[in-house]
Amino acid sequence: MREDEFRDRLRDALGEPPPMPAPRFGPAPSTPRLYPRAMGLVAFALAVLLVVVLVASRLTFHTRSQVLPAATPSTKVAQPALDSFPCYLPVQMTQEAGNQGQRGTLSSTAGFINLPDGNFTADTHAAVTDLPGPADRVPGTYSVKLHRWLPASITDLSPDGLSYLYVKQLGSAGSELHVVDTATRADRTLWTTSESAGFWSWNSAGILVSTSPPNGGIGHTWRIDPATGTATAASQSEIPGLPSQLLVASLGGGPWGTSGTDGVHLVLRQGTAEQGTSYSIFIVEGGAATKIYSGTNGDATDFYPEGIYVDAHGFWFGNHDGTRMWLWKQESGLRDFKVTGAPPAPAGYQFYFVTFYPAGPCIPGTFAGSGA
Amino acid sequence: MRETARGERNELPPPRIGKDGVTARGAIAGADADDMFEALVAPLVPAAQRLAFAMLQNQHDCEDVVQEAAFKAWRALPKLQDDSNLRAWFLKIVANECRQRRRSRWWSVVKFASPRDEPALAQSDENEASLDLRRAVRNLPDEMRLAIVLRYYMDSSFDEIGAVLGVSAPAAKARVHRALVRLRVEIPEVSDDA
Repeated sequence: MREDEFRDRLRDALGEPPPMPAPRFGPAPSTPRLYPRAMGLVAFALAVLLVVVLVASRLTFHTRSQVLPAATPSTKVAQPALDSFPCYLPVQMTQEAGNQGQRGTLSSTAGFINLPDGNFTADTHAAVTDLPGPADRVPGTYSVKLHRWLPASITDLSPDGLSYLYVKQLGSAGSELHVVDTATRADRTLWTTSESAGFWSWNSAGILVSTSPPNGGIGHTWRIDPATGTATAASQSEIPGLPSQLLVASLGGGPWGTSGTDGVHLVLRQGTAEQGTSYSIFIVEGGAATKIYSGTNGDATDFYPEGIYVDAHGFWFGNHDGTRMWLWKQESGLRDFKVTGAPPAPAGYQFYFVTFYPAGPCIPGTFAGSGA
Repeated sequence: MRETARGERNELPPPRIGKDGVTARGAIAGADADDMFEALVAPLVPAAQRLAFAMLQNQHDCEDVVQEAAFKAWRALPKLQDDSNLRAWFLKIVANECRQRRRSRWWSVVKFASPRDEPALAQSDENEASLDLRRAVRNLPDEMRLAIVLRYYMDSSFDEIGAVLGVSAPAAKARVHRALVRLRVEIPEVSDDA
């Protein structure tokens, strides 16, 4: 897609703002719509009340929430029981190269990083085109059970890791929820809707899907039975991110952003990336947040996580500049592994960036480059 | 209607206060500060509204954010540096207010975190590709979405994006690239050539 075409598509997608009144300049205005002192006091009181409620709820229900439970294997994919080294970590490597004012190039490669030495090797057997899925599918997760890459993220996998789902959008005709059985490669249309569908999670309680009318209106949340395709109305409060987002709202302390999720955990960065400013990294799970790092942008550690995968070793993260992988475990804290083996910068580009995203559990042994 | 809106956007005056142009404090000095402030900032309001709308996709939130940004900009006037780029400075305040809005209102956070897309403005000609792209942009982390919006929705230069994000122009370029990579997860055709 050309840059101009992308601009047009983005503007179509986001739309143009409707006519709006100009803001009032100068000191706090006195009209009821615009920040009168009374409304400010009410807002302040409500904010205090909200904070009290949130803090109280945390104290009540999460008195130990500053400490996450010990890292446990993901429920999505069976994890190797061993947590020792050497092991090889599945990763999705993204490469970006570009010049100022010109279009850049982007590519994705699946492979493994041998740890603890940190050498990356591309997996020549990573193709996923033999499996059904969305158009232009790429390897997203490595399955130890199946000994192969899957065209799905960890959040798309069934609880037993043997199936994955994807949403097929049918334009004005609605959406289809597809389930793929990796054993038979059968692509089953599980559920159809006349609305636009988005997928939330797949756990033992079923598949949580939200839909919205294509031209706007009130959306719905559904829980789909993965065996029968039966849909039952669900509450929006069942959406996995809700408790975490509430907690995030209670943390305070400046701008924040997420830099990874596996459907259970959320990696939260609080603070900007501006050099010299302070920031913190949290892992949020089930309404509780654990601060795993606090530092200053550009300091000696400069922990800037990208992605997340949890296995018996702990919590794996990439780093935004591709130089390191990180492992965090409550008992041992944060540990980094220097990564080598990334392709050199292609000639003719001013900028070149590599990032490794963890895409599976660290598998005992060493990857020799001939398929896992 | 959309074409008209685009036309209006294209007819917006270029930034009056640029990297090599008149600096904010210098222009304000010697005049009635309030009047001058309004004279300088008012032309930037359409850009601020577009940025807020692209980030929040909600008219009322957008109005509130721009109003709050204007008020905070007025209050922060004494802190302006002589070499401040007023447009970038004001857009940065707007961007911060957008972040604050999303952070402080859990229902907004849920709305933006949700895969559900409830178009703020119903468009009869809106196709599924637009819905997918809007969903993908909304699912981006704050700074990535801001970088994409500034570059491809606001037509900002990397210098301006860097000024709004608080990073260098090359770093801003990297942010845009990184955001495109992230977008590609959901919209595979986006990043290859964009």
